Amino acid sequence: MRYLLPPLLGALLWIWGIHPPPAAGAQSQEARAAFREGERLAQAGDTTLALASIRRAVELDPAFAEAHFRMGVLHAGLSSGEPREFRERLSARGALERAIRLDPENPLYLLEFGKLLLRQQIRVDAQRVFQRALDLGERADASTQAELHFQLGVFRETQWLRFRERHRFPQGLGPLSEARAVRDPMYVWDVLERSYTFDGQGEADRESMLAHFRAALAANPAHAGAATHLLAYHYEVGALDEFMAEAQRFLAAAPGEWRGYLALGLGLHVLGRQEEAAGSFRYGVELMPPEIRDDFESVARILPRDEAELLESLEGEARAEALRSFWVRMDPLLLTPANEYQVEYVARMAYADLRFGLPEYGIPGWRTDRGDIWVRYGAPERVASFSPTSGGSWEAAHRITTVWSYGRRGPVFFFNQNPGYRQAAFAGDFRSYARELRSVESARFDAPTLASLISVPVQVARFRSDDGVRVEVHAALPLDSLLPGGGGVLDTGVFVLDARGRELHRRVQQEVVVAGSPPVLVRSWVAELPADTPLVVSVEARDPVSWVAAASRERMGGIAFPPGAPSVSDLLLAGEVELRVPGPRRREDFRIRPEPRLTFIPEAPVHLYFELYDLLPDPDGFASYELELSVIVEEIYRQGPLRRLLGELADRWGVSEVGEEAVRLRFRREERVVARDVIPEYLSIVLDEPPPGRYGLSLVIRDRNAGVELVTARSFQILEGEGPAPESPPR
Amino acid sequence: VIPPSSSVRPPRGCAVVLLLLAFLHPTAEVVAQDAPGSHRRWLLALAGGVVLGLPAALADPFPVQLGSCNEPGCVAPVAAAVGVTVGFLLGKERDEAAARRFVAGPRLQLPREGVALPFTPERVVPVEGGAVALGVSGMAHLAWEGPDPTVGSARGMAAGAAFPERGLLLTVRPDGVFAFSLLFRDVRGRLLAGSPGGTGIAALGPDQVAVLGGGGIRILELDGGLAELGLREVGTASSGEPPVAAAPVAGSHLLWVLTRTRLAAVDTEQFRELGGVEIPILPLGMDVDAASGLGVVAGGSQGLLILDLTRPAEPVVLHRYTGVREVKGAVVEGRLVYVAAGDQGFVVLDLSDPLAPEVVGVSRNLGDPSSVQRGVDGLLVTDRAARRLHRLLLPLPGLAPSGDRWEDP
Repeated sequence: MRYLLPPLLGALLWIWGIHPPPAAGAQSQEARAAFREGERLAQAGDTTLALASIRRAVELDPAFAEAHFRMGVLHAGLSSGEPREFRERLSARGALERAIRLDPENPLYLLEFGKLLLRQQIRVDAQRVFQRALDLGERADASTQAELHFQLGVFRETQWLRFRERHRFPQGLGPLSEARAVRDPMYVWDVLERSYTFDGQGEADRESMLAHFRAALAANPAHAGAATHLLAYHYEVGALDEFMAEAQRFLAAAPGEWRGYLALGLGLHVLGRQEEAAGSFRYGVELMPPEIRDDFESVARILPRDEAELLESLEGEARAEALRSFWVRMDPLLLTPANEYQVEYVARMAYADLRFGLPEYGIPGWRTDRGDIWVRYGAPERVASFSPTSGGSWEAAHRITTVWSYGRRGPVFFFNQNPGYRQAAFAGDFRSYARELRSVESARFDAPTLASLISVPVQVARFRSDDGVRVEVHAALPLDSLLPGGGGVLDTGVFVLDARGRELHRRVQQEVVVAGSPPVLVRSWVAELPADTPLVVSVEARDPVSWVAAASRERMGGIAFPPGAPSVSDLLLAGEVELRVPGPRRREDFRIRPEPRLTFIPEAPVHLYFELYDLLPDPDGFASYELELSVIVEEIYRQGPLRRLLGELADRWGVSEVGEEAVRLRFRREERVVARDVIPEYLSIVLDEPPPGRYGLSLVIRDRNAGVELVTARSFQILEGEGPAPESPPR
Repeated sequence: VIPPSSSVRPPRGCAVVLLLLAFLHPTAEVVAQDAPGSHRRWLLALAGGVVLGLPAALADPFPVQLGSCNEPGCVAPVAAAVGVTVGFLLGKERDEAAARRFVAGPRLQLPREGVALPFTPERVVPVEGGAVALGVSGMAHLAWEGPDPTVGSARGMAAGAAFPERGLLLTVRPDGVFAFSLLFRDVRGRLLAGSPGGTGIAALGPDQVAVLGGGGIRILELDGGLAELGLREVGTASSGEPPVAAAPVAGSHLLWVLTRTRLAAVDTEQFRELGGVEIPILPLGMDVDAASGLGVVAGGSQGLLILDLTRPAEPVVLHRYTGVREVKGAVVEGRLVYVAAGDQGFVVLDLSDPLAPEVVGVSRNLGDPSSVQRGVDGLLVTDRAARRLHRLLLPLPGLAPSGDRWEDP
């Protein structure tokens, strides 16, 4: 009998195989058709109809595991991380649990179930489910395996991050007082300095994290999550070579992935390759979905609140123009192709997304509290996290506190975080502290390629020209700071922009500086520009080898010289003004050595040159005008704290020279103006034993025939030991 | 009323927990292979038990009736169990940390000769009697026997190559090649007009240089002295993808070029590829020992690749070694490989059997080595985190250059 049993069983199975029960088969086919229709609808984006169709498939065949699974995935897709929106999550959970009950060893079902648990913040169970799914690895395809490794890697990463910066207070110190920290950043700095840490904390988690991320990328080289988290790790531990290699590898595997380009740009930025970084960032931003791009490009987060609101109220072209104008104004060096601060901003955004982003909740890193602070103020000087305490405020109790300190003077930020969770939020009053700080200092920028940005003394004077305004720019480039070792090559440039940041004039050149040159290189430029246009004049110089740069940015309102109406040019202060010809009629008839630093030694003459236009002639062809020049002591430079204090008191009581007139001149001139409408004027003044300080020079011109009064003014300073600036021909 | 016997339950429970902890949570696999011992957990468990248990045992009974466990006979075992558990857990953490720090192989105490730098060193160029350190935020010329480093302001140099015959150092950045005089320890340098930018540079001889850029390799000839130095392109070799590193073989026209996926042998005279091999890891850098024909490719956390490069037309990957957690840089010299292994230290491997490398020494007194490279008379090891450059003279003390076993001095 026992020999007959196998053939009998085989025959039975064969009969069952070719003749399945007719009712069940029909129902399954119908269910399958409904399921396929649901899939089609889901792909078309009609989730509601898709759900209805798949629900019908489940009703037709309650043992249809795949249909339960799809229903769960669709419900999960409709749910959000909001605690109140639990109905969809419950439906999703029910459907996925049924699918798993029917097919308990399906890694894909377990993966989606784990992800749903994550969204429900049930992290321990989620981790267990992921691990179980991974243990069933042979049934998982590469994509599922990659996702499982990634999710488990993120768990390990959370643990590693938790312990990486873990500090402990020395005996008798701590915990930190949030209230005091807000008022006194130095207190936090000192406590952090005295706190200590143990080596090797969280290393096992780090190893496990790296192994999981690597395994995820081995299974799916284009896995964005695993790649970006691995990149964040390399970046933070300073493994730049590996960071760059990984970024390039990821881009080769996923060439359409914007995060890869941002990561590559971040690495290039740190390496000082700004132009390449800017290119990589630009490409990454272009690849972003429009809704993310708009948010990413908005600089509202680094503006004071009122300006941010103004920017946010703009749309379309106006908004694009405002952003463009903002970045031109922010560009510290127009001489370089890349905007260093813009690249720095995007690099911060990229890092914030790499490290603080929560894609599973649809939260980009720059929208988190830590990301917001990172983007505005960059990397903190000190970071420390402290283990949960049972005391303190209710929201800090049993939560990890992470402290970011930006130096002794602050600012300081505290964040709270539940153990085992990645989200961190401002602790206590730090949200309002951050808000207040934003109105005082909305952002802080530096850049790796801006070794130092030295100020350049510049004098800009505007005169009338045939077509508008002739702008003279005289600059004293500090060679001793730019090229401290002696000679070399210097990139120099002068740029004139309008108020909206559009470039009106650009002149860039290379200067070969020989060793032994004077410490200051005076350069002058002349540009013809439209009248009545507010201008921004930027003079820049940069050593291309050391990246040491100098720049000055002068902002000035529009000036116009209306034909037929009396007007006056700016005052040009000079160390020397000489006549080239008797009876000068134009600028070229003078030899002028402008003083770009607007600084003179005591008792040295201060020369002034200016032009008067279209003064009204009398019937005999003579213009008659009165000049009134006054020099007022605006500030006295005092050495030493005591002198400064006494001087300040004397200034307030009105017993010092501050506010007093050092010079007042008034004289009348008559000039024949037939066949010309320009009167060049020059003056020299010598102050009698002037104290070192800042002086205000004001010139009032009264056209007696027209009864018009014109005013022009300029500040200068008197300093001991400031020699005259050398002469330089205008360019 | 709870019977007195219940007071002994907690210690029993704790003991069970302890046993479970000990047996159900073994040390991580990577640690278990080479664990140097797990005594800390037991020592700290004992200490914890004594510290908490003894005072509790000697204390008077609690005056206030808080529950069933007020007598020292009950409190002491509970306190001891808590102390043992806490001590055990702390000790376990220490054991694991120690195990992770411990790489198989004996400890190597190397004489340190380090120089602190005012910037983070990214690359080092060996020069006669010293080295030039390059970083994003500066460069410095160091002399081993002499004054303090001459710190220059040149920034962002990606790589450099020395030409001792000309007393010249060439460095490269994406915007061009820069020339510095080695004779005067010049750190100002000048941009060579019209020179190609790049990310790597290798000296091919006294008059020839290879510049690695996005498109491949440009072979340039040096023309004139330092003051009027010019570069003239004599040929290019495409590497298909951006080169990561290049290693010239002295006395030949052979240049090994490493890209993200490939290692290729390039003839710098005929500008053609002789042969190549796929690289199965993400490479960070490479080194070649012409004498032994061995090559190594550093792959960060993906390990070290050992190659047979005796036949340039057919290079062969012999082995991928993953015994070192982070291979940030590697130099092969004879049968020894020197590995900058980050926080794991400085590791020396023996390649007598390239298919089964063995750790012959690990030094932990060089900080976190982030790169290693061949110097004029030894090795140059950088520590990015501590901003230090170390020189190690070869042979290392206690380690024969042939790769014989290290003997405890």
